[in-house]
Amino acid sequence: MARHYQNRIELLQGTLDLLILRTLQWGPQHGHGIGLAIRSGSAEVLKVEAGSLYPALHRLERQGWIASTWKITENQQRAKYYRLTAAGKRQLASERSRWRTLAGAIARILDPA
Amino acid sequence: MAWWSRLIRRSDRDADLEAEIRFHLQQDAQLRRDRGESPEAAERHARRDFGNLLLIKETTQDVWGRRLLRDFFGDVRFGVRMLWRTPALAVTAIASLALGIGATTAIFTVINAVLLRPLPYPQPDELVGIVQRHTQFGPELATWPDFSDWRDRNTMLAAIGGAWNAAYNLTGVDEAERLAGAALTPGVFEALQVEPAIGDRFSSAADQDPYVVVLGHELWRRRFGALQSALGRRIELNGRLFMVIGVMPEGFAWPAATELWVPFVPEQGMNRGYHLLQVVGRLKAGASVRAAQDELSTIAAAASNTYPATNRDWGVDARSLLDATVNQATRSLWILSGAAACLLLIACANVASLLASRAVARRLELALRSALGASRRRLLQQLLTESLVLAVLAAMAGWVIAITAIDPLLALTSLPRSNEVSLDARVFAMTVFAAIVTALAIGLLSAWSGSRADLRDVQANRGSVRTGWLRPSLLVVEVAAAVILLTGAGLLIRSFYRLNQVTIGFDAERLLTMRFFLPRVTYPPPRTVRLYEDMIERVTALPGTESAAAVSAFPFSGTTANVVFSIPSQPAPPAGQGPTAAFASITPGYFKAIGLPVIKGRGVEPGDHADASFVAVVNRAMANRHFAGEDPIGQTIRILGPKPRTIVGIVDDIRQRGLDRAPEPEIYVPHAQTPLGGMFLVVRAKNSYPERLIAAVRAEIRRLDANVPIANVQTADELLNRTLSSRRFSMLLVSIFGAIALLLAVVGIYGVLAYAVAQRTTEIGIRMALGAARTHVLRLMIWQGLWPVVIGLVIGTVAAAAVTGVLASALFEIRPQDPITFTSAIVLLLITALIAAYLPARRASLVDPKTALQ
Repeated sequence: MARHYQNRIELLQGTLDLLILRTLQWGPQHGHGIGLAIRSGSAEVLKVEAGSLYPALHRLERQGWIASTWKITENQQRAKYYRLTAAGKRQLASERSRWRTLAGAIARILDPA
Repeated sequence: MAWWSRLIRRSDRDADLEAEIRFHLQQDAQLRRDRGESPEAAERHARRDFGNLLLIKETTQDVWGRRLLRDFFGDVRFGVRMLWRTPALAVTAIASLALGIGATTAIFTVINAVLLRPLPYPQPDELVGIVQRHTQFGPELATWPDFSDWRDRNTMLAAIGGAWNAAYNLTGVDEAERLAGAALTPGVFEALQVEPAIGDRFSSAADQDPYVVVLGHELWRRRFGALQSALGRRIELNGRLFMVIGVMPEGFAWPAATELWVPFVPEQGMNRGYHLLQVVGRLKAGASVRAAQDELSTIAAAASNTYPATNRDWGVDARSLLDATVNQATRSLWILSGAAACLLLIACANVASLLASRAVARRLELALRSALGASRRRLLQQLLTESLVLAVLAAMAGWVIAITAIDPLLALTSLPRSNEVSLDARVFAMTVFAAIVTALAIGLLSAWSGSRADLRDVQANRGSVRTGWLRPSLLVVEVAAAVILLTGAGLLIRSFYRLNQVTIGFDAERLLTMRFFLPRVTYPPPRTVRLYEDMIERVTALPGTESAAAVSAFPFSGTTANVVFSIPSQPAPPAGQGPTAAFASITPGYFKAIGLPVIKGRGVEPGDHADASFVAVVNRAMANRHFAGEDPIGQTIRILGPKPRTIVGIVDDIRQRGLDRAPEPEIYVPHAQTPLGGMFLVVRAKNSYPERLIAAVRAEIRRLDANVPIANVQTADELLNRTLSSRRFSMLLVSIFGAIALLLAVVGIYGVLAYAVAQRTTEIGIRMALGAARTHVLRLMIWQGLWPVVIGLVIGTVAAAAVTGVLASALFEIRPQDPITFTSAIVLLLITALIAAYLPARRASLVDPKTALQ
């Protein structure tokens, strides 16, 4: 079971980070919201497991790309909101261009024109 | 950041994560409720969707990288709790390991001090110990003239000095005390490069006042209250006044165990036949021991040519001072460390086996935790931490055992450098190392059997077969190691017993000996003879004395000299190849005084004076070897000097050179006809406290001649004991280790079988329900406990046969493969195993089928 989770994290590593950073570009969001946003943003194709999401959030926070604060939601609940830092924005930009290059390259291989 | 603020921040983060996850679950449940699910279902599904809560929490905490430590503390707490819950197991395990670690630590402490630590002098690698070596009889102290040759002619040594060990009677300060001291030639302080801590030392100047003394630090503290005013004080040593001029630094004792040092004053009698100096040298920068040895050998060869009478067979032997000091002890210490390692191995196997049984009992717990998402690594970490807790507790107990055991242990032995033994950082590191290795060994072994459990197997009570081999194989290891220890102990015990059974040839009880050196110039032969005669007469007249006599070489004193002799009636051997025999010059009454029976003829009598016809007495070995089939009495023999001697008697053999050396041919001649200055006075006391005679004897001798120095006052028992002490040390220790090994083996066998019985209760019930006889069950169960023992015995016997060879030099009249010892060790272990196996097996045979099958 343990191996199951860890494999998933490794598989999504980088990609998940990119998706989280991209989601936070819209504004601060809590973990649950980020999960929902990715899910709906991908038209329900990508379902982010909590077991991948929270380690990823904490890792990104540790790397200084996102920061967190406790805020009160509309429903008067305390929630931990993550937001993008300046370093995170730079990271997103570079990750994004790297992803495009990678995706384009893979697409060219899979469907040669 | 201070560690506590880190801890606080960490617990903050834990609470944060907790709240974050709680919020996630609430949000999810809310969404589900909004979609129309019932509140209970919404909550449940949110929980299920989230996944393994604990694992996610741990993985997330991993990101912050402090989980290992936190887990560790948790595991330590858990481990202590587990031990607390099974006190019997905990105590057994800790006690076994403590014995193993304690033994290892104690032995290592001694090895560390004696063999590993550098000598306590500056640049100890430059120091060499130098002895003379007889081609036949081995190393000896150096004579004063030979030492002087080395000193004057060598080019390799920056300094060279010699010490003459002697006993000094300290009087004039409260209570009189006999002290080990040494007379030092110039060069000793320079070679060792040690200066007094207080005051001054004597110099090498020719006008040095010989009546000065430098005190050892401990002596200064003990007898002079560590007062500065001790300097300049005059104290009486052997009846002469010496002025205290200095105090050496703490711990200085060269030669070993000496406590005071006076200038060496060469005397007339110190010729090339009188070996008295322990020599130390310091190599010049760049010079090697090898080169120094070569140069000294050249000097010794020149002396052999110039003085063939005294130096013909003498060479020289230079070795590093550390080697020269610990030479004898090295082998026995390594043997002991091997024994201690064996013991630790047994203790580890034992405890691993105990823990394995618990791990099997805990399979359900472990399987459950594994099913709940604990990774295998995590479980292993926990088991290792638990065994570490065990090992650390055991190491602390072992440390206490070592500290308590060391002093009594050292009291048993005459190891060199034993005064330097102390616990230091290296010993501590060794204990920690032993604890960690132990923890790893038992943790991994017990984890092996536990952490692979699958919940379904455990619930179905399957999977026990897979771990079934572990405990028996540990038992095999344990028994094999126990065989090695027990055979080793058996061999040493039998040697020691044999050695004690050896007829030393005389009655060593109630005998006091002391040594005298009368310089030839002041004591020409007639005067020497008369002085000893007077001495014996006066001492014999003392109320406590039964008899007294003098001899030039007392047994076991290391002074036995060999001389060449010839028998005119027999064909002469080629020149230079004449036979030799041990030789002693004795006064009348010596045989009676030491209780050596005259077998035939007569002993030395008062009538055998210088003007009477020259006579000799030979021992049985001499008679057998050189007069086979003839009667030696009446035959002529030539020894020391031109005058032929008539053999007038045969006495029994004495193991002159030590209990472990076969008697050699020996020739006794009357002192009056071969007057020697250096003699032992031998006094047999009427009661069994010969040492109580010392004061009276000394007073008589002082009254006779106040200028005669008395040296080496000791009882024959002391001399005898010293020849046995190192053997007794090894024997006792290895025996103790063997006994512990046996005890641990019992625990191991009992444990394995008790566990097997508990596991097979149902099976036994079925067998008995189907009609198996109780005796059959008993046999079956005993065999289950015994087969690993039998395999262990076989392996252990083979291993022991291969290993006991290293003991060969420590054995006496016993071969390392002595069948009696091996058989006894095997039988002893087998019987012990049977008893240990019988109890649980009996319990099995009393199983009530009805209860067992319910």
